[in-house]
Amino acid sequence: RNGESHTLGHGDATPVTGGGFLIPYAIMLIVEGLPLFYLELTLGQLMRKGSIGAWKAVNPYLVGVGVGSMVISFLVCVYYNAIVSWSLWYLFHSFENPLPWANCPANSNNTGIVEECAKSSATEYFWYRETLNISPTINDSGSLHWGLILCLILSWLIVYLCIIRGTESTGKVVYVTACFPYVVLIIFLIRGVTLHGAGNGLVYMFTPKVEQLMDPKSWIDAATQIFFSLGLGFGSLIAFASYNQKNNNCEKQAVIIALINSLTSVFASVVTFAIYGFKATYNYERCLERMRLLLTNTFDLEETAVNTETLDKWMSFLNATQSDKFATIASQIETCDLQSHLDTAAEGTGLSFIVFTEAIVNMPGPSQIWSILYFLMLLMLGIGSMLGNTAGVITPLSDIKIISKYLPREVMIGIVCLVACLIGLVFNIGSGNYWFSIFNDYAATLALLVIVLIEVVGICYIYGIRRFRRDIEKMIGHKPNWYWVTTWVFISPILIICLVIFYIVDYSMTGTLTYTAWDSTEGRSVKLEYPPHALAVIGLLVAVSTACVPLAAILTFIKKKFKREKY
Amino acid sequence: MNENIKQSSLWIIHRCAFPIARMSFGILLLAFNLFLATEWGATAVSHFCFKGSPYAHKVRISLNAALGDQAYVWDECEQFYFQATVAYGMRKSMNKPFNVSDVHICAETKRISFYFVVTNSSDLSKPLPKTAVEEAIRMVRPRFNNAFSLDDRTLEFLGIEPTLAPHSEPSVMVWLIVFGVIMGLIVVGLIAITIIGHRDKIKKTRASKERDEENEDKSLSGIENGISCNPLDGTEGHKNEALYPDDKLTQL
Repeated sequence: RNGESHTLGHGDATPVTGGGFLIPYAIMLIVEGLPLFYLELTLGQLMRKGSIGAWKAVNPYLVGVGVGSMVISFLVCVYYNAIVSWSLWYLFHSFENPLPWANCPANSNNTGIVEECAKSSATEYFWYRETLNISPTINDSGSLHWGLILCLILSWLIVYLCIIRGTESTGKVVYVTACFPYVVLIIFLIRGVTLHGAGNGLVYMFTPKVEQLMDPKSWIDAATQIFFSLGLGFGSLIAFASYNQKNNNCEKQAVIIALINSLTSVFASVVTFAIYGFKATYNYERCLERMRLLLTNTFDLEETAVNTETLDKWMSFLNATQSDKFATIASQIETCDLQSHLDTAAEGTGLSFIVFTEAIVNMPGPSQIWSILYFLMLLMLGIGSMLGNTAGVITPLSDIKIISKYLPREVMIGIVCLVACLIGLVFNIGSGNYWFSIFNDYAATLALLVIVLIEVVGICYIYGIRRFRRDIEKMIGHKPNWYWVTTWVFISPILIICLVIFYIVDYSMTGTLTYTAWDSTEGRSVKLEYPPHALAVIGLLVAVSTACVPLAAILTFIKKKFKREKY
Repeated sequence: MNENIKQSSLWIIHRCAFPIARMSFGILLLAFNLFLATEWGATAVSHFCFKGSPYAHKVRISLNAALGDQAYVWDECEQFYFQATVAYGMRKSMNKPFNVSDVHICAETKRISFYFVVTNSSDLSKPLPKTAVEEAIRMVRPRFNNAFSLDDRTLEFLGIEPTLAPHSEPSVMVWLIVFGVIMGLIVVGLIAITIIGHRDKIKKTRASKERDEENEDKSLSGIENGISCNPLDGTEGHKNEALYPDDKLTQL
């Protein structure tokens, strides 16, 4: 049971940028995450139906909330399996010796290494060129990547295999997908904290940065992170809870699961930051070494003359005494700063592949084992999340009588998987990663906030908080105490409204939306603006789930009026 | 008499000293020429062995990086060894008898970096073009590295890039093999589940059909209004208690 919810969310919950995210995360958890988690579990257990049926039972005009949840779940299904396919691709390649992202490949006449790889790094080259075969902008479609398409098909087959027998078999699968990551995390924890430089990463993680606390973006990110990792608003919680016993103590269950989930996230962050600290320290020391070598070679100094402590002194000395010679290498001088290496550590799904593979390559010991363990863990987490997402789609669909009458359950699941797989093929063309980022950033952020807001307001004000409390008392024996009630009725709605307002204000202030593209000639990322058709897709993604609520309400109104007029 | 001695001594000087002077002058001239020749040879070499010369290659050696504590000291003997190895390379590549003296080293620094030029053994004034030297060094590069217990990175010839090992292509096969294995497992699992599910369904329908048939035998037309009656089994009778009450009560 525990496993289901924690793997429901964004399994590869890469921590929010920068250290010091713990404070927003903890506050959001207590104020938003726990209460909303309990709310959704209770709703599912009470109504014993998927999200559509449950919301229909709350109030027929609110059935749109269930439909919106289902649409969000479907969109997440479509793009999230791309992450699973990437994990599979890296997992398969981890069996090679040496690891393919350890060294740059040689160019066609063996005189040097491929230029794009030389300008960036071997891991970036492997990610951007060999895994994604990324095109320069979102407009260039590029070609299909057959290897990744095979991995995508395989990942959908695995998901289909896991959910085809229904929740009994899904439950057993979830035990595996939930326990294995813990084992791997413990192994990586032991390995990680003993690495040189891990301490730097941990210090960075636990030191709060005041500017970041003031920035509303980090609070929005913490809230979205909580929503994602707990699976709020996707309808999957309602779906899973609908299979519970009628008088299951969902209050205790909610608290336990949410706490375990968050502790796991923090635990995973500790491991992640230890390894980031190692990688940042390694890069920093390599930068220092490069500078030392540059000075020694240019000025023909004795080999042991310059070391890392005296580097700055030597640089100023040489600049003063032989300034013209120094000017010739001025373009190659870099300031090596550990903080900047730590700051660029964690952002986005792609970067976590790059950063971790780089760290794994440099870790002492057999890199293949580390790599296989890590990507197996990513695979388990990804499949666990997919199970939750698909449950959020399939349970409400199977509640709709028309579908369940004419289609056997296996065929319906198969159709859903097939459609999602076909749409997901979009992410395997040259510009696929840009479309993936669009889905990742916009399909389930703003819409999720709005849907959860309507959920809370719907239960508290439309269904009635008093009625809800009485229903809970009937189920588990006692009414929810003042903490739950205050957070449901006042704090959560206000907080979510604030977040939505910040989000919209932030967008309107920056004016235009940008994305990071990969420039293969320079070997680095550049920021570009979205073309109009991409902006249209973004708007569509946000609208298609939020619009379900008013549309369904209107439809219900029309249906009722039609029925009333009939009689 | 004095006049005679003066005249004869002048004649002696004229006849003997001059040739002696001329000879010594000649010897001096020869010596000077030779001196000039070697000096000119040396300056001739320094003509083309200097930093930035079109004939000189720069060599950089990083003993500390390669050997750490066990680094040897770079002294004249090591330099001689270097010259000998270059001469060996030139011999191997051009099949001409090069000597150690044909390799000239200049502009040494504390870094352990220097320039070297190779001259033609027959003519000191003719340095060999860079390309010939490059070819020779490339040919014997592994032996060169081994001679000094260094590698391509720590014994650098600036301008002569080491050729990289060719990229191994068979790596494509490995990932496809693993993919194939896992795909096969999943497909087998799916087929197994479908077959088991089908079999379970057939068994269930058969069992429920049998149960339905048994119920039909028992109840005949006994299901009306949803209430099923259990008719008399026909084998035993049921005693109607109302007609035959217990004797206990009516006995007087």
